[in-house]
Amino acid sequence: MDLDVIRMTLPVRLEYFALLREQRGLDAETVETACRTARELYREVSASHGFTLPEDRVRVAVNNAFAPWDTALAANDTVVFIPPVSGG
Amino acid sequence: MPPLIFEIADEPLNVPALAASLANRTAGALASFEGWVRDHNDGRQVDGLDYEVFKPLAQSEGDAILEEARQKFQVTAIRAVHRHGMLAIGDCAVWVGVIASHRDEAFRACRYVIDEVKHRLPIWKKEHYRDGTAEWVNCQHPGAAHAHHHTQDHAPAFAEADMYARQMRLPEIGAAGQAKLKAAKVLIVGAGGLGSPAALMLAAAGVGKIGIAEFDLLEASNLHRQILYAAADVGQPKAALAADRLRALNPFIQVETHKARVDAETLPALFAAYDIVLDCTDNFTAKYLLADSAILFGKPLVQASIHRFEGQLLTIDPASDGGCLRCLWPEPPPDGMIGNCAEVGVLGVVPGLFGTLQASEALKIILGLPGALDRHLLIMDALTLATRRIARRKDADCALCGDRPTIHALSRPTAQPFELAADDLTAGMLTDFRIVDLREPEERADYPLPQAIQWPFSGFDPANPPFDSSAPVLLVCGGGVRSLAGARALRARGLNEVYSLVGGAKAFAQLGRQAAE
Ligand SMILES: [Zn+2]
Repeated sequence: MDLDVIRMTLPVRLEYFALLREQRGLDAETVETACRTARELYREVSASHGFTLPEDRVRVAVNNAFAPWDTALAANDTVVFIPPVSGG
Repeated sequence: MPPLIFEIADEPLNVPALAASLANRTAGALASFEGWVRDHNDGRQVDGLDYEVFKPLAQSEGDAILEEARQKFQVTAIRAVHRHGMLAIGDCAVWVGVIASHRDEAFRACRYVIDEVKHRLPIWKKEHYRDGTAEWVNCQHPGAAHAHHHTQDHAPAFAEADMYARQMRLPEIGAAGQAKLKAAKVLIVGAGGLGSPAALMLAAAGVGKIGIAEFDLLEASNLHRQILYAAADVGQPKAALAADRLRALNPFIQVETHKARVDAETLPALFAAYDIVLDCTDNFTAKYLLADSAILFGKPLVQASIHRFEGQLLTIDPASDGGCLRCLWPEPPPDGMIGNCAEVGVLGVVPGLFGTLQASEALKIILGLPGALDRHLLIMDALTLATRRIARRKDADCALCGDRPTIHALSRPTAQPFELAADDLTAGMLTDFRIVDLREPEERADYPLPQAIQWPFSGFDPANPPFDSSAPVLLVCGGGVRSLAGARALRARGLNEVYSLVGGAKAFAQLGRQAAE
């Protein structure tokens, strides 16, 4: 079997908040990704867009619930990356 | 000590028996007052009255009133009873009896007790009208209010419950809910962009005791978002200004100010004195101290944080399984990694929205209303108006609230070896240092540093400092966060004589003033 068939891409909706929104220059986007976990996806977008926050400073929510970084992604998941903020 | 008896009664009052209970051989006079349910109010025909009493608070306030009367007047005994529940026209709603050696003292004490009971007891009445409708009304008639030691000099010409008529009409609140608000004690830490609307909304809603923890002075750059204050107040201490504003808004509540910084020394007593705490601060150090306090001292904390046009809101409830701030982000990010309002800017309405939401969360907790954010984080962007309510759960590995916590006390600050406080600097040292201003051009007007080398942090590159390394350098920014990050970055490149000024340009300006004096 062809490797490309096994590693099919998934459509995932991505949302960015705070610093990540500024560094991405977007609120949200839908991407086709071959990543299988939230961690792989963060590393991928982080590398493409020059995010300065390492993943241990950011939390990920999948479908409106905070999730561990090794959460497996499914097609049409909404994945939100959330850094802490401190202003008042 | 004369006997003092204050009671809330569920059953009809037996007036002759009450009077007889005060009989005493040494007393020469009994003065008593009876309040009856009448058949009209404000031109409307009344069928009956429903009195709702928040008993724990009514009892302690009633006991206090009788004790005050005993101290003010020469009396032998006082007994006062207020009804609770449904009353018909003509029923006795309240009875006060005072015995004393002399009638003057008996009359005066009786008058004092009934006036104070009417004014201060958390009792609300619902009038049932002949037309079948019903309405919550004040227990004291307009125009009858008078100056009290616990209110402002100009006591309002209306009763406290008049302020809350519209929210008491909500079945979820009513008199019982209003009494819970009156009994509640809420501490607001930080009377700035978040704390301003939060404090105003809670005071207006009738929260009985509000604490304001704030050490700062009002600056012109605060006014666009800190709606507690007026332009004429710039330079004044914010805590006292906030307290005056809240007392003017609602003279029936108690407002306390706490002017010390919140830290490991001051937080235990502050958490002990209040039921709920609102985190309206603007920095990670304070936010983690408050989050730790919520778990360590067992009180709910409503936290909001702002970044430019968006904000985050959550409630840490030690009784919930929703977890704490450290369950989400175990440690605060290193200084300078994520900017604060002074550095990145903020649109005033955004803390306005989130401070109002913090007040809303506090009211939900006090009133036991559903939907508290103890198991969610709310994120909202004021530009797109996109809102997300993200579920969160306690992390079993959390160092603060997990199964095997390792944090058992509040952390105490350890000064960075390359941070200097204004107190550490002498005039001689200042002449030796090169001063480098890391603020953006638009920030410099607040505390100008004309002698400084200007190096805006937006263009900060530790590889290319605009000075040579021959003299010690003091980095100054708005509040000391960027300068600390800058000093760390420059020292990492071998510039070992670089220091950060704690407190930023404001601290520097105060230093200059001291030197000039
Ligand atoms: Zn936790």
